[in-house]
Amino acid sequence: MTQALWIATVSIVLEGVVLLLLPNLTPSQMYFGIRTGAAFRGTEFGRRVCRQYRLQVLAWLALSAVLMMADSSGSELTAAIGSMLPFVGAAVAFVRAYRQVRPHAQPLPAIREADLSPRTPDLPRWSWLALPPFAVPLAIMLYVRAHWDEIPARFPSHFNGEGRPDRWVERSERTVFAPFWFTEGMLLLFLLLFVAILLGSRKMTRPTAIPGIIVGAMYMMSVFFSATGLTPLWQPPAGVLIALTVAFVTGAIVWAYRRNSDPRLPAEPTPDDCWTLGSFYVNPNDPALFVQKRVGFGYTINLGNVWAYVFFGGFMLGMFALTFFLKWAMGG
Amino acid sequence: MAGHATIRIDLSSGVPAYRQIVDAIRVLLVEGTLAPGSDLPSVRQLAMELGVHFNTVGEAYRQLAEEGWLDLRHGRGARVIARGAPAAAAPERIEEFRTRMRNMIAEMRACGIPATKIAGELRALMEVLR
Repeated sequence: MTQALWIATVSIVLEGVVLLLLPNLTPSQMYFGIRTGAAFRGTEFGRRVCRQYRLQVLAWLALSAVLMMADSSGSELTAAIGSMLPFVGAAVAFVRAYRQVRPHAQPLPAIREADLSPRTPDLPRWSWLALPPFAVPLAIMLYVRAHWDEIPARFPSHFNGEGRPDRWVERSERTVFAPFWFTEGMLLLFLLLFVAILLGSRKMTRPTAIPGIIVGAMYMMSVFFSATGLTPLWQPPAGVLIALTVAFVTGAIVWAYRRNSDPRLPAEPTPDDCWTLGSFYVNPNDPALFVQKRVGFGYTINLGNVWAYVFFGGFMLGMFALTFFLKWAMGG
Repeated sequence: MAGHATIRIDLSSGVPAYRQIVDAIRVLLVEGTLAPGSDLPSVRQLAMELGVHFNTVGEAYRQLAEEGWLDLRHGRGARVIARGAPAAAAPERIEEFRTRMRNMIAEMRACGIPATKIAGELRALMEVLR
């Protein structure tokens, strides 16, 4: 089995777990993107809809597995198609479930509450935890600088699907330190995302796990990318990095599941007619940039708010700019 | 500051949202839950929390500022200020309040609430808002 196929298999297993758990990875008041109340999912009809959804997802997962096993060469194209199929199948199954549940939607609560107390700060006290990850790439840069003479004149900068180096670069300030600056840039983007979510969403949705997961991802990124930046001196074992990623994603899913299945987590009173398929929110009259997702956990952007486009556009532009910078610096 | 400074509005009510926000904040101001020096959320933040338009909250804050409760500083939100004792209300204003109270008490009586209970509620409220 090639490394590409291994990675695809692991990602399909993770995809499968997430897609099968999707009906549970929502606030308990929501079901397949519809505000139904917490009790609905326990009814006979609610359970039947969920069962049908999961059977369809399982069928697509099985089809994906068969496709990948049938390709003995383990090509990257097969791996890519195999990874995408369960998503496509789950989307079809979801739309069907959404249409079945829609007639059972509950009316939007008209009562709105707001806490005017300054005891609820805009940013939670633990926000400082988002800063230490910035120190990791800097510390490793200092380490690399101190061991500069041990770096070979040429070192690998890219690895193929089987984990073997297939591109080399000359040793220089640019090629050695670019991955660390790339990491700092990514951390900055995620810090902005963290702050924007906390300032641009209602405080009632703060108990969702996402701000914590973003900070966790920052730690993950700082270790993962900084370890990759150590390549000129030492090649980190790919298996350890993959295991670390899987452990983080699994932990994040479990944590998010536990937080979101808590019946005390209120459902945000966003109007039903501003949602399309329970997934896309367009409300020009809502000042919130981010609103509680109805499918899955966390937040989605308010597509009716021009500032959400500005932020999202800036975020994507930052991602592209960082990727371009890394490719340019590494001579790609 | 004492107690929870939570306001609640009902969007299905016939009373405009900005009016409900003014009334709810004024209660917190009169009972002392929001003391002079307290900062209120920005217009953007409160509008977001309540899911109403910026202008709705802006109008409510302006009304409270006109009544002398708030200092609106451009770009820095609103701060509760010490409000001097208002001049005695004009007889017409007192007559207007009397009419509103009469209507409300009549509505309460029509809902079957005994007169003694209404009087008790009014006394209890008066204690809190003294």
